[in-house]
Amino acid sequence: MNRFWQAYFGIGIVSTSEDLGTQSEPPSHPELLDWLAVEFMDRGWDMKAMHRLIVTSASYRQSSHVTPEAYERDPYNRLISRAPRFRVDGEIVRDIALEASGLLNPKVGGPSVFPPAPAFLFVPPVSYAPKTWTVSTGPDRYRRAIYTFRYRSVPYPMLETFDAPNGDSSCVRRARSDTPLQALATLNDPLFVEMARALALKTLREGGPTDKDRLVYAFRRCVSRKPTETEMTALSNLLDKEQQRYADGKLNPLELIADNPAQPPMLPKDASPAQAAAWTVVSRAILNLDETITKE
Amino acid sequence: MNCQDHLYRSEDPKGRTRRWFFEQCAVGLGSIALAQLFAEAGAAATTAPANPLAPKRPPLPAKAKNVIFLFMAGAPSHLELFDYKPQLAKFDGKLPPAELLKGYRAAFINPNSTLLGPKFKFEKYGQSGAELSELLPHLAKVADDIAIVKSMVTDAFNHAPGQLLMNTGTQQFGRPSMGSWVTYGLGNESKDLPGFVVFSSGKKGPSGGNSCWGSGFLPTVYQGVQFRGSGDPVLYLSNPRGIDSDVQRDSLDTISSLNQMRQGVTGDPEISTRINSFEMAYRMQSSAPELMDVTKEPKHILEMYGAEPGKPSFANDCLLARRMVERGVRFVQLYHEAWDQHTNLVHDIKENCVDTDRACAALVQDLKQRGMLDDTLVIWGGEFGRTPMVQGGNDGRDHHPNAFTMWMAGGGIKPGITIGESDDLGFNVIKDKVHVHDLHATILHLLGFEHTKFTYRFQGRNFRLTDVAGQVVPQLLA
Repeated sequence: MNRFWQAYFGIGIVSTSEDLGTQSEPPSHPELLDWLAVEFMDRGWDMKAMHRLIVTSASYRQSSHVTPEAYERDPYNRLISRAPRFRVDGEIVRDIALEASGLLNPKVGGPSVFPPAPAFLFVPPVSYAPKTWTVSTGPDRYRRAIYTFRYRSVPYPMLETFDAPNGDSSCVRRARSDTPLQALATLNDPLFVEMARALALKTLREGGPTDKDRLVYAFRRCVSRKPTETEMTALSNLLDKEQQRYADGKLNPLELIADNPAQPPMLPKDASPAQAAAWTVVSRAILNLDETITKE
Repeated sequence: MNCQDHLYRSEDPKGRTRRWFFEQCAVGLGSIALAQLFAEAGAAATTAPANPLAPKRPPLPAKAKNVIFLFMAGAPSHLELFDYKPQLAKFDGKLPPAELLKGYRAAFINPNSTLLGPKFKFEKYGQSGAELSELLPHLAKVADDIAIVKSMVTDAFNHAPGQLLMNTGTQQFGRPSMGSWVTYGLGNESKDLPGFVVFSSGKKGPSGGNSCWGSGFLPTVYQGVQFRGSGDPVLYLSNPRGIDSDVQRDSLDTISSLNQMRQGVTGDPEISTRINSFEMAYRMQSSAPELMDVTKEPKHILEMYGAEPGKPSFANDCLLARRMVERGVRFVQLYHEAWDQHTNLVHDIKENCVDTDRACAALVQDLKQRGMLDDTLVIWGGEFGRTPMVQGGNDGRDHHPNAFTMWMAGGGIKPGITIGESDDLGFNVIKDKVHVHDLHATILHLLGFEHTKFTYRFQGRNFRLTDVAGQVVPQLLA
């Protein structure tokens, strides 16, 4: 039950979830933990019932808004004075972008897959011996991150950057760091650029007739709510400015929207390469918002 | 694994158990200093989300602030480089005494193989009279600045376990590496570079793989970040094609302003951390190429190291290590995996020395002339030594854990000394034995940590780099 709680609230009732007992950190709510344990038995060891119980609880359904005073008194939300708000695990960071861009291949199970990774990691002098990493070009390229093939000696770089353990020792609780290397990954990793492109094209195709409709569409796909007026203004300013920049020929829009500028993708009817490039920039910005990779 | 206990520790007095009382209150001054360390971390945590890499003071007075570890992976032969054995030359081609081999296990050879005399000439150098091989003419020039330890011993006789023991204090993977411990304890002085940086040169990467610089059960922010000598030094540092620095700037401005709006709504101060990370990433996009660009170094410095701009090499990495430490990077580790001479010993070790000797000596000299050697600890060595017995016809040696040589310089190390001694054949250590755990204890001591008190709680017990062993080597301290 402590681990269930940890999954939903980001931190267990006993924070040291790998170590629960006399030498662990004491529980923040011992009665609650006991009650959950007994309830679990009383409900016939029904895990789904317990998940439902937690997510429908008043504690979980609170707002994650926090005042400075409340934050000072309870910085880690150990008193459960608000709903949890935390950055999701590395695998989900990637899956969110795949899903939002429409690229996600939802297939379940099967052998591990080889999404794009920098080739130099798998050959000497970085690797001790050459390793095989044949990048998937078909639908396997966009499988959920948990299906990524893992070499313990060469962990998948994006996941490693987002605190996924390398498998050297068992792990029931991850760190949750926030580093510039993570920003570089979600901004510049070629796979993330592919996802920004895909979201841009999907938005142009399906997002409605006006830029306003399209911004709402792209924004909702990433954070599941409509943008506010000020958010809308900021995004449409970016859209207009970059569209102008690409249209003026300061930058070649085809370089952004295609791996090979000589073979640009099929653009939606009436869309110009400059427009597709500007939408790629905007999509990339939305995919990189704190809120996009945060559970709140 | 990857616990964040340090963030929540020492907050609730009711949380003190009897065990805690006995553990922490019976150990005297060290614990007070340590408590101070935690109190500082704790105090920071209540005012703002703690930056796990913020610089921290060590609990005890320190001589060294930064570390550069030149890891000669593959294990260089002490018998060809540092530990001259005339008796070994005399008994070349003879079998070693049977009692020496009792209980001895070699990695590949039948231990009952004939002895192989040293392949190179030795001479004494400097005022200290350090005895060095003719293969190390440049190191000879800084002989009076380094401390040579001829009495290293380890427990492992294969590369991966040996490298893991040297880096993490245990032969199995999963423990935090030395660089992770040090950045965990001291944080990072650099604002736009990682605190623990790893380079790899030579023929291949180290056999221990990423676990050599892994963070084990420490938070992953403390693991080593691999830099490359060519291309993007850090993964995903360059903007995607079709995005220039103006578009990147506009994008970051938009992301920041939207993040700020969201912070206004949720009140979550963690969003400020995210905004900072993006700004740091943007700064890193210009600071890392600037750091890697050695063309601006004066010609005499490039020549001193033997570095050539644009051509990845161990020499370039040594120069970059100095540039990193100058910018506040806490721990730099250079792997040069090339020393595993089971065969072709004479040719290959010569080549390795050509590749590394000049740069190693230049690093010591360069740090010294900049006044940086006083608080930068330089460590040179591999995971074990090589057998006095022959392998591969008459031109190779097998792995040997019983005796090998390392050297250290700066950061509170006594310069111009040689400590320890191996027996007449260079087989066993006979004087001032220094186990890998003792080396770790000494390194931590120089950085201001009592190695038995520098712990991290994981799965119900306190772990340390030296596990349950290790003693500081007093002869090495200045």
